[in-house]
Amino acid sequence: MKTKYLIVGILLAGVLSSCKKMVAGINNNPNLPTDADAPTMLPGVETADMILQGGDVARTASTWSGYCTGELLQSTQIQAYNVIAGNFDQSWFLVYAAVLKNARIMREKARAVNNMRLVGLSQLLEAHAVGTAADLWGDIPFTQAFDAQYPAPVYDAQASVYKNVQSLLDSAITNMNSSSFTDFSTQEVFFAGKMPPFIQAAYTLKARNYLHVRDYPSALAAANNGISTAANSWLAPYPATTKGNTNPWYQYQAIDRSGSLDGKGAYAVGLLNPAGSSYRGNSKTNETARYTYLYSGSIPTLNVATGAFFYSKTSFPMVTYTENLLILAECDARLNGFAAGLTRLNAYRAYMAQGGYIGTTFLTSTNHQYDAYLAADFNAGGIANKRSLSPADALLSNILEERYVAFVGQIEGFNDLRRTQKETSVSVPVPPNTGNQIPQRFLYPQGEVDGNSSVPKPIPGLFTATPVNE
Amino acid sequence: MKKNQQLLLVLLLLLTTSVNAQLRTITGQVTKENNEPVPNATVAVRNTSIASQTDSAGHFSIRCPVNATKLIISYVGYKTEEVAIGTRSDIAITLSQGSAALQDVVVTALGFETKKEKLGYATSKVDGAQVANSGEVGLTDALGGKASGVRVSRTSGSDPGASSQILIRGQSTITRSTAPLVVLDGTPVNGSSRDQGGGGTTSGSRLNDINPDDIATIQVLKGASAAALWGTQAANGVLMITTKKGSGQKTAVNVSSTYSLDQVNMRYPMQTTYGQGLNGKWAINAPRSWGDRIADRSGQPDVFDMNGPYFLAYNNGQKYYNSTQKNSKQTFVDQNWDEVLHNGYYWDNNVSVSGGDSKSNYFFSIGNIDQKWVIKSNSDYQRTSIRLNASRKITDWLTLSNKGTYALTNSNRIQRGVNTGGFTTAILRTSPDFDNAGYIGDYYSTPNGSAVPNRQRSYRNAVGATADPGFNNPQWDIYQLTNKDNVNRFINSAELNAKPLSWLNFVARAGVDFLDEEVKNNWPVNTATATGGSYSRNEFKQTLFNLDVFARAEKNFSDAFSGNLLVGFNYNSNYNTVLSGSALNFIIPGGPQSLNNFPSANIGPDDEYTLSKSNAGYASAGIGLYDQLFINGTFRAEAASTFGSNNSRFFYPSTDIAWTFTKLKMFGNSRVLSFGKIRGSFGIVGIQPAPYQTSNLFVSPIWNDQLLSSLTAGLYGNGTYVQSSNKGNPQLKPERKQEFEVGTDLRFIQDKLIVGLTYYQNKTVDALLSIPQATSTGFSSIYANAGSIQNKGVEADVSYNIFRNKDWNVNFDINWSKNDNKVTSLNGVNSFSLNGSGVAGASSAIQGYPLGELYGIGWQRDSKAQLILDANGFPKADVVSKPLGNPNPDWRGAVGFKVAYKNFSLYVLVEHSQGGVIMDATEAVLLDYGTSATTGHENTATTALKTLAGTTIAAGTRFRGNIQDFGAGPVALEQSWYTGIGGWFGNVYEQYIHNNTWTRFRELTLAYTLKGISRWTKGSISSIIVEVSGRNLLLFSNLKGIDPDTNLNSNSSARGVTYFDDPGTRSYLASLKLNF
Repeated sequence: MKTKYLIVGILLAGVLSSCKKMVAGINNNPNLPTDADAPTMLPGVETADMILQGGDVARTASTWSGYCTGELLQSTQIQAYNVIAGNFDQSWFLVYAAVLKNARIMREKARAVNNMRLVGLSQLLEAHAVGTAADLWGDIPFTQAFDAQYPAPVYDAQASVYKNVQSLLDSAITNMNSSSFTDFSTQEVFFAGKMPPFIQAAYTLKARNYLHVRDYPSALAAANNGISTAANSWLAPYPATTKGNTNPWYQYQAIDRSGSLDGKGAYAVGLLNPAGSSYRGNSKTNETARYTYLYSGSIPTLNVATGAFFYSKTSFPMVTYTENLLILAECDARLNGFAAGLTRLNAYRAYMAQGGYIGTTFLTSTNHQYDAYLAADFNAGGIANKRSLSPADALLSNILEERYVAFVGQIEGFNDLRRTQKETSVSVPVPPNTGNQIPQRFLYPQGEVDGNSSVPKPIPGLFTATPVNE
Repeated sequence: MKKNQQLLLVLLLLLTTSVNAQLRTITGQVTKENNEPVPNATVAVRNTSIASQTDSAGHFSIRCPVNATKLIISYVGYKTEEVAIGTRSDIAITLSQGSAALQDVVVTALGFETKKEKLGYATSKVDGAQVANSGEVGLTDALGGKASGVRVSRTSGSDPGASSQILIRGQSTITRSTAPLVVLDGTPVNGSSRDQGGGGTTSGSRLNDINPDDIATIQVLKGASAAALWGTQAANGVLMITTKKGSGQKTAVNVSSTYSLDQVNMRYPMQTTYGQGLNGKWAINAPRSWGDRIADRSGQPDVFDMNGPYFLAYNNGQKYYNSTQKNSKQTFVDQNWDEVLHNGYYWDNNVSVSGGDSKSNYFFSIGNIDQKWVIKSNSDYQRTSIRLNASRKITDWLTLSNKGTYALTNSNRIQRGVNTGGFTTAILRTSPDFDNAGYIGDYYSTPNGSAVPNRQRSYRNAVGATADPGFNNPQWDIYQLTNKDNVNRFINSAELNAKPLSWLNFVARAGVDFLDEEVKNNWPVNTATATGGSYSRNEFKQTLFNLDVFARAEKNFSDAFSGNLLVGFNYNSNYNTVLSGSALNFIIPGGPQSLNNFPSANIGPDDEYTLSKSNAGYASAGIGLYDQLFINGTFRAEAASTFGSNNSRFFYPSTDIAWTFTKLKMFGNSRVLSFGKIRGSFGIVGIQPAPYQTSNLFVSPIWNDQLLSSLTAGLYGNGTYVQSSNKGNPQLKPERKQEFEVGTDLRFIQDKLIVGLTYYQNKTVDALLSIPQATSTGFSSIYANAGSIQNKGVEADVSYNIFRNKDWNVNFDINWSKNDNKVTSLNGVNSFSLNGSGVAGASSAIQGYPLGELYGIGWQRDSKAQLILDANGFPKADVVSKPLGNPNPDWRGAVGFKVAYKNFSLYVLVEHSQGGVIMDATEAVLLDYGTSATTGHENTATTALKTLAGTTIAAGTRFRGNIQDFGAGPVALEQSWYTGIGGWFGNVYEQYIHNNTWTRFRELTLAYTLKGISRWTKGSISSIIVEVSGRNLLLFSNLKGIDPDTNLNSNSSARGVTYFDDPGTRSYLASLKLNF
């Protein structure tokens, strides 16, 4: 019987041993960290901005800007302006939960160790994303965004968001000029941590945002400090060893959804295709190289061949020398008279005449020509005045068209079309894909409709202009 | 815990009054009509817990105290007999027939058997034979239609080994698994499946690793009070599975063999009147089939460009050139199907040996099932299982037993769902005039060009000119893609049972469930979306350990008063590891399917492990008064590692009460009401949070844009971590579900008619969900206890023995259940998407709506809900989502009908599901592609008809499409409609919502039992049973192309969407069972 009680005793001991200590302290995730320092966060923030600027947002903007045509699946609907709030959730996510939030966290961490250059870079990245969001959505959360106090961040007026972006950029420039920093060159994706190109990009970005609110004097002033050489263009690099670091345009066009987008009937194709009836070339201008760099095939499609603009490894423009030259041209033409504008335009044409941003594999000695224009070219009947405008308008119109074709594949073309749509004599007359107007904005996403009580109700429709374009 | 300690003290005092009873052995035989022996009858000694079972010849042997007075003999379907022992040592008992549910013995949460009449809550019992004979390959599906309150829904058709959802009394949780806890022989085991999302291949239900032939009974504990002793594991109910054990002295051998022939039961109707192309013109390689009218072609052979590129197929030796002019009227829809489908089949073979003696018993079995599914290649399922259950009485008071099983499951899966590699995606989008026959071969860019090997030919790549085929050829999907899934599973449950006193026992029960699953997916070079090929290998391992130690006392103090008391301790740990690698772009195409065959930069590993633990103390107590009033209470205090630091311990009480009112004298001689019980119960159960959610994490992100493109941030810099968009929460606590139920069990007309009715109402509070955040807050979600859901429902079980005599026995039984679910709170969140599938029209949680409500874009409507029409009379798409319909059925019921005549028996099981909606997203896509039969219709405009594009079809003109009146007169639905807002990509999901009422003949079985054959088999074979049966023979449904019992989002709470799921099947089976 002793065994009996021994076993019973052991079992009883088991019953009594219930204890909370047995489960304590094992809920710390062994797979993921709970913190990371600022330089470690940097590539995460930079890549988020890359896909924001070069991914679906750019594709949608391009489909609405006459750069490409949606032919299949979802692209057909985007082409036909059949979009819903839910189509914009992820783009919004990239602005806020990817770039803005992590840029701010990174900034605090960098500030804590007095790494002021990284503080400045975080401000530049945030300003870039937020400026893009203001361009596309108008009023957006900014002052209350990513602040635990505000579960329903209010929508700041578009104008004040632009203002905040400008001061963020001013601060970025100051900080990036600081001599206090710890080296983060191996983590930095774009310029291996070198500050001058970023500082210039910040100025160009300031100019871009001033342009969007039609503050042309400020834009001109900023652009004068902007990107000064092609080598300083801020480009998103794509080594394309796997899908995960491949140009998003290429991913869509060649990997995920071949045939969804092409250039059939696209307005930009008409302008650039030397064989087309509305070809913009003339005796001083040959667009063959640029056209083949962007488009290919008898039924024109986006060129994904080696070295082309939409190729897997081609770096995608974020903020470029090209853009800066064209901001200068437009502002000078608007503010300082015909001659000043023409000089700027010819500076841009001189850059393009050397090949410009066109991929070298697409350049031959004869397929690109951008000779300097003379004032007479803009007179009625001149080669640069097909629409019979006054010389000043013809010049502005020509610059806007230069901008239009320079932004193929980018968001900025869509911004230009909306900004200049009331200047009907000079703006680029891209016809709507359907109906009688082009979309004026992106829709506020379903996630905001569902989760943020501050979202405008009802949300503005696709054809409601953002405040700056009203 | 103080309470538990007090209870223990009482027990200890009781222990010291131990008495040594003297024992004697009684043997005997139990028979039924015709003197047939009754095997597996329970023989128990009254007022003790001593019990034994009869062997296959009906013999039993039982040791009982000398002073024992009566034996109680019970057997399912027969009246329980009480026999006075007197001085006899050999007793013969003859049982007379009773009703099936009579004196039913049920298994409670800790694995004890008790009489059903003592319980104050509803449970359902499914016999092992019912699941073994269902004709289903897996146990999960075999449960379908078998019990009230239990809903079994398939995912992705009848894909072999795929998981199905078992839902008990509706969804009790929003984001956590809806799968019930599976307790196999007292040990909680993995009975669920990995979440497979909406694409890829299905991941099998691990419940299917259990061989149905090994199962004695499955007790379904539906309500919170029944399951409360399992605390945070039990909110979805519990399946208590008890496997077979041996009995008696004689060794019994059972051999069974089943062959099943399986056929696809439904196929999407596809049009054969219009060719590939767009705008009424044929076009080679066009993605859609909005081309020319095939009947208008000349009928001459097609014109080919013989000087251009061509494709030389390996699989049929044929050369394919580009057509320049399509003349042939031939269509290939049926042929294309026949190339990939055939009759599937399976063999299911089982051998079991069981036996024992007075001190021990054993059950040993080997089972093998080998299924080739209806898809011709790379779609199969094999399971081999071995089980040994053994028990030995070491001494009079100490019994050791062990139940162990090993199962090896190998299967090959087909890609399905949201997936360009999906087999149904491929075949349903293929143009009717495209011949898929030659699918793999060499591509030559010119007649004299060099061969590009292993190119894929598909309807968008007619001569294999590009590496990217657009969509795969369906044959490529089934012959070239491979998806292997291998599972090694070992489950063992060991128990030590000490019984120092007749009324007291101690049990220590330890169980381990170990599983190792290896999944390998291979996408060869030239596959859509992986033109360089890709490969992944995932290893999942799980070790579940569970320990229960408890003491239980049970005593009948007098006829008027009995009681039982239990205290125990539970420890549970769940350890999971995932080690996986995926890679892109083979170095040597067609070389080894191994991560080694990839550039090192293209290999991505994943290494994760999770561990969660819980422990608990528990107690239960019950009393019985006058053998008619029973009151039970249970209590569990539990701590778990997944709780936030502020929340250490939670309590799960339950109580139930049952009163057999017909034991009152006033009912003593009622001829109508022979038995009546009313019952009521209340209980609380819980669900644990997911592990590692209590803090903000940093992740190495893959940034996705809105549509398909992505950047892997870690490929830049030195790798990177940023803060996750999911916010951690240190306040986490378990979800808690409280439930009350009331019910009655009634038997009428000498127990011929048996009725069980239950009403329940439960409410889950603190439901866990990743509350979606407006991402302007910087987070997309916060994991929090934020939701409340309630379920209200009624369950009814009715059985009626219509007629019975010596030769005939006619029964039917009905189980019926209705559950109304409502999300009562989401903490202010409008809607919460339950599926991350990528298919819009998401199944969602929306406050005030049933869980799973479909949420998506509808038509614009005015304040009177009338469609707002455009100038041409077409409706307009809204831009924000709204609730579109409830995918949960209004009610479900099943009717079983059984006729036995002498040695013949016929069984029919019909299941009906009433109401609820399903969104047929597949059909919606096919409308856009112009392959749906709906798009093949031709109509003649009776009046001038506007099209969506704004053009006019003149009266009298024949056109391709349909005529519809949205309220402003008839309009033409043609290409611009279907490729616009009238098709899937137009986003208006409202139009694809269908009522999902269906009725199916789930089972039909005809069996013949050959008895009395011992003479000519010289005693070696005691009986032979021959069965022919059909599964899913008839189906009545609103859906045209697919068995509605399917769900894109596997076994999550997301219901009601079908999107390129695999087809359902019907089966014809024959089986032979030999009992030695």
